[in-house]
Amino acid sequence: MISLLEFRNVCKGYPKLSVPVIDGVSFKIEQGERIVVLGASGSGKTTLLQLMGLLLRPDSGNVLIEGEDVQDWSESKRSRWRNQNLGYVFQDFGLIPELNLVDNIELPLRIAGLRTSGLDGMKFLSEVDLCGREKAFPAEISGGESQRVAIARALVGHPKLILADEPTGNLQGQQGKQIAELFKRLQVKLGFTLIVATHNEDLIELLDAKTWILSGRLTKST
Amino acid sequence: MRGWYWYLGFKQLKHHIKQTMIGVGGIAASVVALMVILSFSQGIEEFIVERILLLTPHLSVEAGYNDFILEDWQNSLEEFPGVYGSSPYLLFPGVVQRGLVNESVAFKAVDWDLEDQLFDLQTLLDEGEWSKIRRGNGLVIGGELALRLGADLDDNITVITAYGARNLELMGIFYTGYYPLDSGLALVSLGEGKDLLETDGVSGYGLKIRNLSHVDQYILPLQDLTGLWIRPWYDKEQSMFITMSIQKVVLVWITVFSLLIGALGIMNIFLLRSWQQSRSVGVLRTLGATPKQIGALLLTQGVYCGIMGGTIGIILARLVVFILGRIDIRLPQVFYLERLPISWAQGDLWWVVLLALITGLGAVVWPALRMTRIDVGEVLRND
Repeated sequence: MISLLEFRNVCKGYPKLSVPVIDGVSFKIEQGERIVVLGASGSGKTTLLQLMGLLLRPDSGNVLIEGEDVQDWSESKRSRWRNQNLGYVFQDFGLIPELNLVDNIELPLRIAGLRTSGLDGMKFLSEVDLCGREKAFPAEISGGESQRVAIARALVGHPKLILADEPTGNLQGQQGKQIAELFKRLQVKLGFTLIVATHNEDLIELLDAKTWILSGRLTKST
Repeated sequence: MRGWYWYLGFKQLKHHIKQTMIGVGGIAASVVALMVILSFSQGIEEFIVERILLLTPHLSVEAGYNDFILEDWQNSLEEFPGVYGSSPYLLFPGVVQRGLVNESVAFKAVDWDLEDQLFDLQTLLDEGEWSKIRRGNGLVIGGELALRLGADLDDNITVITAYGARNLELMGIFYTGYYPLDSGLALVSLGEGKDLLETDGVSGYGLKIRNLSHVDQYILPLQDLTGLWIRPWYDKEQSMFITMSIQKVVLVWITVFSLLIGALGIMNIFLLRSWQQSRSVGVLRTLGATPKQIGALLLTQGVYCGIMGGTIGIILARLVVFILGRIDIRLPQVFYLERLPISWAQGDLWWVVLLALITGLGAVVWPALRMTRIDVGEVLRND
């Protein structure tokens, strides 16, 4: 069976650091999996997610998407793949401040060259329980609501893979829990692969996810 | 929608409206300055051309240096397609003298009735009776020349030419508003001229044509018809038009440089914005935007600024030109213009708008390039 995403002995370092941040990491991820990548600050979680999202190129090793090595993919092919297959959720939500909530959600569709009418945005806004806030701007809503909008935006293009980088890092306890529950509900409903990088161990239980521990090298604990 | 960056670019400009208006204002102000200068330049040119043509034929049929045309071309020229008037003349240099004052002038001997058909001499007459002029053999001079001579109607003026001197009665004073004509031209009857020069011929024929803008198209056919030298009206004023063109080019370049300073203002704004929006650029890249599209996002904003600055500038300039056209700006006598002429430079409109657009676009090229080179991994890092 062909995996959605496969890493073969991937290494990635930065010029200012003497040791690689990602050091010979190998794994396979199948469609529909839920994985939490645990690690302390600076352990390479963000770098791992950026490698998975084809935002960074590894120094060595291979990254395979559905069996195809992406080494030779051009920048525009990588961008197209991200637009059609990837949803990315950030710790600081990453909403575009100049767009209202519906326009923020529909932005991936516009980038894909699709005509938008606001219906897709409204539909996914209702999926994240924010009906009636479509005309609001990011500056006018709370952190928890912003992360819901960011999740809706990540899902609007029906991607196969969602990468969430510390999605509860900027949220207080109850809001973080609600976001985790929303993620799990939507993952079960829509069947996408969910990879969450966090240092918050509570998310493992809340998401009922496999756990990987990252500290340069990857350890699969469950 | 293809080209999502047009949509987002517009939204970003709208969201940062104060910054946007500073940039747009810089372009608009330069466009106003440019259009007003061009309109003044065009107004002055139109003013001078209009005045020149008050007493200058559209085309002159001439024999050439030191020669007279002895054949009568009057009927053939009047029947030439597109020509609606022809008048023979004798042109010769001389001096007018009254008391101790001498002034060099160009004498033009004309058939009063034919010349009146070409130039409407009666309306140009500031002093004198037309009926008396066309019956007699007197002298008609410009207002400036009369002033210099201190001459009034009915005064005797001594006319001195290479062929001799005689006294003529000052029968009329004309006023065109064009200094070289009003100070340097003296009209006498064709009979008087022929008498003075002791010839039966003429120096040439003045022609008026129906479509002045096509004046050059008449030159070769008329040359073929007559075998004579055909000169368009502007031929004798070349040096003045060259001087005016040089002045216009210098003024336009000065203003174009002011537009470049406006462009620097926009570049500053967008460079700052490209720093502020680094994180958003990273987010857009995760959503599938290519580096080229990221660059296009800023370039579209430059285009919008250029279009807005150009449009606002043109509207304001039209308003300024309209108001200036109605204000009586008195000028010092040295300019010999009773008021500063201004005429909307419609012909220059499109290149000024294009220049504004290029300015807006050019100003954001560097910030746009900077945005395409943002290290996505770096800007998306949490710590």
